[in-house]
Amino acid sequence: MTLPLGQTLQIRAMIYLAGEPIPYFWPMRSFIHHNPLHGLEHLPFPEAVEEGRRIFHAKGFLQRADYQRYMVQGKVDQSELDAGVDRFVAEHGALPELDLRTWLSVLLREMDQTVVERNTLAQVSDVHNTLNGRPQVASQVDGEVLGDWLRSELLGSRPVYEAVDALYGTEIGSELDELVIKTCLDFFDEGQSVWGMPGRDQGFFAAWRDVASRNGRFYLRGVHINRVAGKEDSPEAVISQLMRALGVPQDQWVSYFARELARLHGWAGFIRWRSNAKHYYWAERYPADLVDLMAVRLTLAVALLSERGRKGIAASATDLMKAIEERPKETYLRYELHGGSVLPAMAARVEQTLAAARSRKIERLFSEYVAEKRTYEAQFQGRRLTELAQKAGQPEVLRRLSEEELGSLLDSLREFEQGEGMIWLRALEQHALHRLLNGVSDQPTVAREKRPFAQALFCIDTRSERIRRHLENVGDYQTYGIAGFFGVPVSFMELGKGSEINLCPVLLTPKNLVLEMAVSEGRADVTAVTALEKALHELKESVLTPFVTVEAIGLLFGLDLVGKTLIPQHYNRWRQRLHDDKPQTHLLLDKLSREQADSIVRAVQRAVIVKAVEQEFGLEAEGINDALVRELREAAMGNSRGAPALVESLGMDERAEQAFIERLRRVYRIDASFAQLQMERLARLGFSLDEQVGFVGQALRAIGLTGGFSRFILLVGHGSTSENNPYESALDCGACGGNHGLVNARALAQMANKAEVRHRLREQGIDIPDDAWFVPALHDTTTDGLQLFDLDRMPPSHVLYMDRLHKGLTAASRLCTQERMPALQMDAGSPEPGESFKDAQRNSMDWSQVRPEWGLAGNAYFVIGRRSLTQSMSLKGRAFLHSYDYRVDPKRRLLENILTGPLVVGQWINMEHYFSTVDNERFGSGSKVYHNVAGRFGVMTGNLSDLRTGLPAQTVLDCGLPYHEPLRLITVIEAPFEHAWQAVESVPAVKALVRNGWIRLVIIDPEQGDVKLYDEGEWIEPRGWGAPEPAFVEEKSESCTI
Amino acid sequence: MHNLNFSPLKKLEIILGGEHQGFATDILDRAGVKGYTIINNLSGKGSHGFHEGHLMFNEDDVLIMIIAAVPEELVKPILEGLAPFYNEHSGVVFISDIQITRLVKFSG
Repeated sequence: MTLPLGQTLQIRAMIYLAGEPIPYFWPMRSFIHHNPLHGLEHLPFPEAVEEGRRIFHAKGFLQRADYQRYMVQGKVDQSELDAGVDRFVAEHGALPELDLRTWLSVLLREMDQTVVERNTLAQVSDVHNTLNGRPQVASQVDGEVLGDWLRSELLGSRPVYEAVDALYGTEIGSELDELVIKTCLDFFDEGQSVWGMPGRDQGFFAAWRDVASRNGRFYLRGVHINRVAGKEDSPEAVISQLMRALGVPQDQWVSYFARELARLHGWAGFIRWRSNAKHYYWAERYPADLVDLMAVRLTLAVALLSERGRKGIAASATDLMKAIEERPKETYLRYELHGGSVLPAMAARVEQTLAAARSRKIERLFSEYVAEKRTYEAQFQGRRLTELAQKAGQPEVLRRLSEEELGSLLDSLREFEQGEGMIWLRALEQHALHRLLNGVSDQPTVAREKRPFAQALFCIDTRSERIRRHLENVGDYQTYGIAGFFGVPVSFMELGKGSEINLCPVLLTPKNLVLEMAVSEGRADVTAVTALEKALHELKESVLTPFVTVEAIGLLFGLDLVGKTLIPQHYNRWRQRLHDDKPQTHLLLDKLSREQADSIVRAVQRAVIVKAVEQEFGLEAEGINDALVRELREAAMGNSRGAPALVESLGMDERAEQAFIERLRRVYRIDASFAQLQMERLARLGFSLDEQVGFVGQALRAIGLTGGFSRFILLVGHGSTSENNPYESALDCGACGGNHGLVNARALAQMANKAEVRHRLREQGIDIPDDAWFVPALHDTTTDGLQLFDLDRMPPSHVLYMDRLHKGLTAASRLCTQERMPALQMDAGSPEPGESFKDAQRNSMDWSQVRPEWGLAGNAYFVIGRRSLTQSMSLKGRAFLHSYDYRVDPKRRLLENILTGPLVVGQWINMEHYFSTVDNERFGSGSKVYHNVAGRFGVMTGNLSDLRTGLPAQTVLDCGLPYHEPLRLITVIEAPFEHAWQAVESVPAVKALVRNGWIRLVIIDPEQGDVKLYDEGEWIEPRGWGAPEPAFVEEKSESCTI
Repeated sequence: MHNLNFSPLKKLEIILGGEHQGFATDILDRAGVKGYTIINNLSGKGSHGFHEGHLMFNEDDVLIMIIAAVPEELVKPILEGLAPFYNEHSGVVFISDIQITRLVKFSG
């Protein structure tokens, strides 16, 4: 059956909409922190959280007990808490005699459970009776009300099988999910399995249907896939047909789809990402999108619902509606029993009565049950209210309330409790903000007499804050913060790897490709291009060396047959050795001239021809001379007819000769149009001089470093080391797409050390003295080690100072681990710096270590401004610090760049941590101990589960309690007010984040000396600015193993 | 210039947020539209207020317009396909009558 085009497109659009709230799931090999509610960022934060709760069945705030614990630890601003209560009371008229303010304050601070329950049966009058000690008044349940309630619970956008499960205790939902997961694991396998799923190139739905319709076990059970979905049907046709069969009204379809997809939001997010990824090899070969997924789910749902043997069980929304219409009381009792809210004392009787299926008995039981439940609920509610009233010191007031007043009180309390999360959150944030504002210094930077010994640029990552502080303390060092990719987005092809990786924030697509080239022994002064040419010309001599370069260029050319097919064994062995023993390398950063590119293409072609001749004719390398190769090349390129030299040495006939030339064209791609393609691809290599000047200038201006350059300017990228850790890329640099930042550091350093680049920068007003040298470095955040690179390029004059530099870096590393390690140890003693350093090393190598480092947990602040603002305080590794000097940025372009890039990445990290902390089971990925790697891209809990999204428990929790403090990113901009606010207004994405309350924006005006906080649409002076810090008690806790 | 044959077609101008470009082009592709033109970086005013055109850090935050010339019989299905989208997102579609000269480029 073919669906009309218009309806096909309509269904695609509906599913597109339904999928929007599901966040992308990036493959974990480059873990990207992101806001799980990114699809809801157009809503104000409280509304988005509520919507998220609805869609994902997940909490958006911590439990009250957790906040109360924070309060004991002194992390909650009491006056902000009171202000929240006051605001609520002002909006809700108070009852006479009842001190609502006190009641609510007591509720927050002293009640450990929710006060107002979701009562389905008990009315206000029932509660009133209970409080006054009067017996329940018997009343009939209104049939219509019951029917309406059942319809709202079971129909609408709720998946049919979910309602059926809740009525009959079947487990169709979980079986369906399991089957879908199994199919996903098979279909999305990326070459791990020995036997691949057949027919994958037809698409996810078609391949699945083929396999499922042949499933023997299904057949035996009476689950008929091909009766449900015919062979010729498109997924859209199947969806349309089945939704009608299920009886779901069309105006509910989008919500229905959304709830279906949200059931396995990890896999759905992965499919969503994959179907939108550009140039993803596996997606191009085996396509799959959400429409396919929906078709599979619906087919399975209908097939399982109509499984033979399910007599008497509803199989569609129409059936459900009939059941509600004709047998409401029975339906109600079923829902109570299997939906999980049955009164425990009566559960057994309900089950037995339903099984006996006698309608009169059911009627009697219903009346009895309803009366019991009402009483139970009323009493429960009464007890809670009484407890609260007693704690508030007004127990008699409660008893004296009229029924109407009681109703009003219950409504107010319910509303308050629904919104209490925001009140706590604001109080947490106020305290954190207060802490920050008390510590910052508005002292202007004192002009230095002589330049510092060294300057170091670190990533804005929160873990840099510690090492920067220690480095500044151990010597005359000046540090800056900049996004970890140093503003240079590159696509990188590592030595020996045949594919590119993007080293930049995921929001960007790099335009330039950078190659890594092995440096031949002792030729450090030779430029990388010449080295490349030289190596290529030496092809005949060594079998392996050429493949160092050819393979690197290989995939650039689409020559995946090179290496892997021509000499697989040697190649693989070489690859293995490379991993253990990587030679010194240089980066190829400069653009190739046309001649160089041409020469490279020729060299590669020659290399391939040599290998081809060896392979096909078994000729020794010595027997293949230049002339032979040249002839063959000319013939293959269509410039000449034959290859007499080859014919002569092998004694072949003309047909064999032409056949081989044809093979060279077809299989080995030695032809003119492919050569043209290769030239075009080579044009992507490197950066032009203009680009290099641009990147260096931009980076230096963005951080305000335009003069007073030291002898050493370290560019410190960061990465982490751990064993057996699927999340290891989460600990790497987010600004580099989940990789370490060393390559970008090397690239920028190389550019900044070039004489031509400095010459041009001088013309622009940035004067880098000749004795200033940029050195790339890597900060390992697990061990806090600082390693310098490309030292072979350093001018001899600087070697003298290396000792002092190394000593300073080592001292900083040790002190840093000394500060950091206690939070990771079992017993929080006071270790020596050397001891901590060793412990940190051990963490990075221990494959059983589930928490090699705390990573970004604890992040709370994003500060854009000069280092002098924060230098005097310890931010305990909780702040993203981006250097910025408004005085060199009159047009606000640099600030806009910081806002639109690094700040957004910081917000993603912050929200990822927030939601993984408040609901680790739904938004986070649970305990690492139970994780199993799925495919090469994700983890599941146990054998078979949804792809786990978010951060694992060990990253954000400690002994089951929150370690990361979930609050919204407190963003500080140090600049004149208008300057800062105009910049924010010019970046729509950030403006929306601020207005909708996803980040808390503070502007510190250094010229006026005042501070403003953006709060609910207005600018206010933060409370407590300038007031002394309240005393608190810091709780010492011991770290757990999980 | 003898053989200039004019054929009537319908022009669709689809304006929506840049982040939905893939969705809209997918709809057009599946409808069998042979090609389309995309204009970037638009600004404009709608029921949501004024939207600034702005060269962004990435291409997602801008308004775009997709222009496609389609045979009449495709107009209704395409609009049906876009209808659920515009229920939830801002943007608009204009349909107008145009003529083109190389019919083979536009209809299969």
